[in-house]
Amino acid sequence: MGYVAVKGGTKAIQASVRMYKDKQHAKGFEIEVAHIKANMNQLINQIMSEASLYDRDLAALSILQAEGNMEEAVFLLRAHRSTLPRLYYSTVTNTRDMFVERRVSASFKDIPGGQILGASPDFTHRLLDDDQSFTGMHDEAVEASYTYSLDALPKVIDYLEQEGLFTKKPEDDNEPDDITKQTIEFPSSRSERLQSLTRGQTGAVTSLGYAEIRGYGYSSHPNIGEVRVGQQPMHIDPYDTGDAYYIGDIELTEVEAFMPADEDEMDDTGSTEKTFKIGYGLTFGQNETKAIAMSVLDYSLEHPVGNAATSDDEFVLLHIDSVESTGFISHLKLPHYVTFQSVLDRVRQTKGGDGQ
Amino acid sequence: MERKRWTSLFIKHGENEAIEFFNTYETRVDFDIISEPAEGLTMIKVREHAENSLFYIGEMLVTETKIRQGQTVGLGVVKGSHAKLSEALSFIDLCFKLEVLKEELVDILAELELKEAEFIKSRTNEILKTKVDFDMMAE
Repeated sequence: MGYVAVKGGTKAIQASVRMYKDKQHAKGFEIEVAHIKANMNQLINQIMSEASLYDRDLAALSILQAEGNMEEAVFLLRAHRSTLPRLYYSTVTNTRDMFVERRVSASFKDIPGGQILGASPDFTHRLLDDDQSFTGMHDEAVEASYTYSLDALPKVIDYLEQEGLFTKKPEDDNEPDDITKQTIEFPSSRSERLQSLTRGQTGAVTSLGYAEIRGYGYSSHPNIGEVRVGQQPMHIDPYDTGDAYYIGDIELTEVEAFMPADEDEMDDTGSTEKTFKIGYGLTFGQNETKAIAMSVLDYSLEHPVGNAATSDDEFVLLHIDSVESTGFISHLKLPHYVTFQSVLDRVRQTKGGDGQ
Repeated sequence: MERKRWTSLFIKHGENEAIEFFNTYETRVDFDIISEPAEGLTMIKVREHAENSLFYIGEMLVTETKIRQGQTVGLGVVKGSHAKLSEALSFIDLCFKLEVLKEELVDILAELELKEAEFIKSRTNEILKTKVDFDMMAE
């Protein structure tokens, strides 16, 4: 069979684009970017996290343009990101400086600074409610003797360390790898894994984290030491003088999950003892489920178990990326005339035909 | 005042004051524009607390402006798309470096410090309303 290149879809494609634009927004019910920004906080958080670009306005615009299709919105934002120059690298950001707006521990009831519920849907009825009007905050008395500052709240792992149940590692200042500059290679580095997990598709990261706990990996119930959500100050020091510029706050969710270590640790006296290790999750915006799942997968990849799927960095990291996975799956609907003809020829030949 | 401190006060609590300062005094200081306000990215480097290593969490959109007087460069960088604020910050940075209009800036920043203290108090109170009181639960 011969192969002939063809053309002729231009008019149909133009008409398709026009039809899509017409279908995109119902006339008379158009909304603006400001409406999305003001009302779809969680969606914006997910998009920014998966796109690996923090900007609420651009995320809202991508949602509007993509008709609320998350994978398309992430794609648009990643594409936009690639058009912009990278001007700076931030100084080292430490979440100990976060202005905490929510901080809970599932492991200790009494933690320094207390359990601060902040804004969370965790305590609401999961029933559809057609009254979505704004209620505002009520005036209630606040504990006058609160001695902590919300921008310097102690971390729960400090408590574990004081008890001798967690050994803090010395600071590792090696420059991290950057998967946006260099393709990830296997076995992956820790920095590649964390960068890849934090921008993974929320559903994929959550599913694999769940699979890991159910028995396809470390298979142990992690204890969440701390979930903290808050405003993280960002700085740059372009002249490397130590006199940094503050450039703005970003919202982050951080999770530290306690995992009972499989192996014993040796203390100063040479005797061995059981300790805890930490699984770490950090995401743009308030993305608690994803951050928890990230902490589970971080531990699973850092402490691999046999041939478990969730301990296989290539399996996990190459399949959780929204743009990669949705891009490949959706390309299957595009014309594959030539490749399919080739398959067809072979099948016909096995049936005794001439392949025409 | 440290640069980290004054940039924080203007960006968090004094956008209007920064722009007003620039509009009022821009003709009092000679400067050339190196680059007009333009958008770009800042890659965020983070310290994680499991192994205490570093990784990149992603990028944030920033607006950058650069101006200069001789060899002295004024730099204005701010999160998001904020051309006016970025321009004003570059001018204020130049003023600090040249040590001009210092008294005017000190007065504005003193006001912004009060504004910030009030904001933090109010925001902290709002957040602490959601702090769990286990004593009350045991009653």
